[in-house]
Amino acid sequence: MKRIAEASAVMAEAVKLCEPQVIPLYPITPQTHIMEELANHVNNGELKAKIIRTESEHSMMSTLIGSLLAGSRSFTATSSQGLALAHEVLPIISGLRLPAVIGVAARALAAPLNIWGDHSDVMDARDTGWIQLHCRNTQAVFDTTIQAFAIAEKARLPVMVIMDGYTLSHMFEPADILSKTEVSGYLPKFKIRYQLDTNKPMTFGPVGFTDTYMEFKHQLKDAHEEAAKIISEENKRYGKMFRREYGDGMVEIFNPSAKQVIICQGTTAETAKLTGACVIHVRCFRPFPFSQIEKACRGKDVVVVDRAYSYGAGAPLHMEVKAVVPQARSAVMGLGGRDIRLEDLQMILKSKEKELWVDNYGK
Amino acid sequence: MKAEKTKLTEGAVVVTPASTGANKTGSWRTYKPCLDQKKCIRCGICWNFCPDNCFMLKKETENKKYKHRFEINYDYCKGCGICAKECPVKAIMMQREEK
Repeated sequence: MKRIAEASAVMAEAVKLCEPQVIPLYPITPQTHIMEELANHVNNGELKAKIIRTESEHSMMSTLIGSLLAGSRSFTATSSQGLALAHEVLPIISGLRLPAVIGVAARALAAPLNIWGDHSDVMDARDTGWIQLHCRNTQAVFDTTIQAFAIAEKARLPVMVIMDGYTLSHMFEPADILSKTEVSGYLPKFKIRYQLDTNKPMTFGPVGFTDTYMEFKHQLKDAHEEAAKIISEENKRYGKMFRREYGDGMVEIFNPSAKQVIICQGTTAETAKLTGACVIHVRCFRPFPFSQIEKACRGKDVVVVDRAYSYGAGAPLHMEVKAVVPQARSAVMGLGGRDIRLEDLQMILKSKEKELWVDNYGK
Repeated sequence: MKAEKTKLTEGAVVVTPASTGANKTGSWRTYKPCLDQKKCIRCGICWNFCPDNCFMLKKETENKKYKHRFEINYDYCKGCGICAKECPVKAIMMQREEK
């Protein structure tokens, strides 16, 4: 059923349909609406889940470990400083191979303090072993959230569902909301490989000495290679059931015949489509779709739009793309919620600069 | 390096309980606690304080005054010295161990 709703509320609706049993939470802008909506669903009796109010994002993320190991599907959401505070727990969750799903309303990192959207927080978490899925509109938020649970539980890896703070998290758009029976027809019952059980005691999170640590990390690397296939499979299966597909699951390519290419993530893709250039929306940042991007960019003029920066090195999405597309140019835009307008994207297509920080405020 | 060949569990889960017993941590020790059974009053403070549960409660056969005695499990004692510090009658002495 089509409904006009805020992307945050749509994410909460999708989570509700996936029926998590535990939701640890801690409020932070611009994620707060997701948690408010979930709390409403629990209060109204539409979702039978235990809400745990924690004292920090670090505790919130740690609570996820406990609830997942106890065998319950779990969800939480955060942003910016919250994700940074929870950072320590992120590699623990992926190292334990737990199927956590979290929503991230991507936001700038302090200082200076800034509550608006960019990708600084999620890029900061890119090396933690989590799958990172970006959404470009409200409908994608709904579909990606449901797929995320299926992907996480099949790949036995945690997934971040990322939407741009404010630009998407506070955006009202029509979205097709599935029914409970439709979602339960798609999403298998929750199960994990090793579960807390007093009758069968096990040790979780032991020391990995120099003789095993590297092997466990190699397992994680293999799991990510496997996850790339699972993401594509789940995208296809979802598309077959509900007639909505997101490219091959890893990248979405619009207008592939155009000579110039804009590579971007999140809502920027929707604006970039209006330039008439070929637009590659990197839906999945980890695992990274190197081969698809290389194939789509062969012999073309490519510009990569980043909403984050790795200081002293370059723009993170551009650095990945450059590994397979050496001619790719970099444009750093929209940091701290700065607008990314159509004319700015048209300008970067015309520019010949290797790295361009687009200063468009008030112009 | 092939992770799948190593037979390690996913996520480093230890599926066999109490398997830490196989790891004899006594080799880490520099100082060895020596318990003088003649001085010991069997108060059990060492048994209570030991962070590695190295004090074993055994039946007393020599001293008729007591029913039990404590013995130290040197397989796991790391020589932290908490027992010697806490002993109210100074029945435990830490001695440099030569290996």
